[in-house]
Amino acid sequence: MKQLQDLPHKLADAPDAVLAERAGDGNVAAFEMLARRHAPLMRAYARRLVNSHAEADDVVQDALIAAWKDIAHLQDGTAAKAWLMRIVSRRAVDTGRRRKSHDNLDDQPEAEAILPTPEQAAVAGSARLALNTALSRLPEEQRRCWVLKELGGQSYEEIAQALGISAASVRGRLARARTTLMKEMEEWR
Amino acid sequence: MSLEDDIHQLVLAMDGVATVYAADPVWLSALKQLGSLVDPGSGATPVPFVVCSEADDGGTQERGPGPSGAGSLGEASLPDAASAGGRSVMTVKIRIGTDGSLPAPAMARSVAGAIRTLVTARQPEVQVRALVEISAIGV
Amino acid sequence: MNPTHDCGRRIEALSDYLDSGTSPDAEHIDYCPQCQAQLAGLRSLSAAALLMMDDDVASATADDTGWLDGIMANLRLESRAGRTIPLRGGELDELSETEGAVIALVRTVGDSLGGVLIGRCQLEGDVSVPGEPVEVKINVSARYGHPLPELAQTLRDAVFAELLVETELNVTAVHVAFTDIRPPVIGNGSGESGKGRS
Ligand SMILES: [Zn+2]
Repeated sequence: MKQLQDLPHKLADAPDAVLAERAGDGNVAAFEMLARRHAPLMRAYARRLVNSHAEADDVVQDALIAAWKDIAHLQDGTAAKAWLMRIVSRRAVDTGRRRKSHDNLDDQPEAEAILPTPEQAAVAGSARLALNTALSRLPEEQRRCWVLKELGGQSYEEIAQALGISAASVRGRLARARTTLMKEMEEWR
Repeated sequence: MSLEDDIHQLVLAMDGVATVYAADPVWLSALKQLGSLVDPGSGATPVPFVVCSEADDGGTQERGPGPSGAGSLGEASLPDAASAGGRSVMTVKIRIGTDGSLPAPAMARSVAGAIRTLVTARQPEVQVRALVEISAIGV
Repeated sequence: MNPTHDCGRRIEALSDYLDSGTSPDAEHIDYCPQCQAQLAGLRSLSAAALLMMDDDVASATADDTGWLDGIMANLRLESRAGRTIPLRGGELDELSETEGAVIALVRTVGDSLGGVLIGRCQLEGDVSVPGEPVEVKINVSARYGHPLPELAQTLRDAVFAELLVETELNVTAVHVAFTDIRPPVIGNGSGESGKGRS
């Protein structure tokens, strides 16, 4: 057998671009490393976009399956993280859309309240806790836009495409979301 | 034990062979697996490793054990060889991984030879056509 | 300046200014207290968002650590087969290797050399026709400190030798491109964590 004991180490510190190239050639270990590197971010992001943790995990799994099928076509491996986040965005929005047409729950605020952990509660009053609370009170359409932009780093065009609305209304919703969030955070201080 | 199982065991036991892969294309088996998760009633169907099909005058008959598993493989139609010498032709399809102790091309040939010997001993009247794919090469 | 007077600038324009760093209205924005207050608000909102996301990532990592293993197991990934490369064999038989198997072999050969991590690997040429010339193109991520020309030659030799044994391809060239140099290993580097945004 060849000396491959240090392969896991080599993969662990390989840049995304190298992992993406290998994954594109069908190397499972490289894809797994890439997935493990970014999965916590994908999961955290998905949790902000859908209603439950279980749903978020389904979104991440779907996104990874889609990514594996498509990674050979990823042109710029250095952008692998942004690409994965884009896939999560689309999947999460689709999930929400499916559920909506299913349940017909229209104006209910949908975000599962992400409860503060004891550590977070200890620093109650912190900006992030204020933001967390304010975010859960936003109308869903605004919250989505804001999460896609601020946490997902998506462009107006990408958000517009994912949500099936115009870039102009993305800009408008985002502005309303930001205005409300800033106001609520002011009050918190 | 079916002929397919015997071939499977024979090839697995050969020097230089590390694995025999499921005959199904990967995504098909993955989809089937997912399908069986979604529909718990449909229990897991056994994955075929070796697929044998027989033909005499151009028509192909699946022999596989599985009810639908083997049929969905979309086996390539047989060439004129089917009628060669008036004997019927049995196509045996297998995918293997080598362990690196023997060169892969030689492995493919000796697996084909071993399959031919086994089938001919059982059914001297058929000609054997071996489809051997090296799906992984060990080092 | 009258503080109750609304300068009329919209939050959209200020967001754009924050994102791009430029605005046709910069003259005004830079000197308007109202706009400056809004900009400060937007900045601290973004900062809070980053902190919140860090918390989210930390708890996504901490919650039942087996979740990713479960997902990975469900993915059932397998290397891609690629093209079919014919092998010589009996008249009736059809023997072949998959392109994916050959590429994985090249990867294994390269990865086993000190300092080398193989990136993309391609077989150029019509591999489905026996005897057709085939060139192998390999991207390599090298560890700093290994002399590149020697590394390239060692890799070429090893790949040539292995392909000669394990395939019937007519390999006419092995091209090695160093696409990236990784820093030397410090300690027992556990690599990048999943955390962090860039
Ligand atoms: Zn102003």
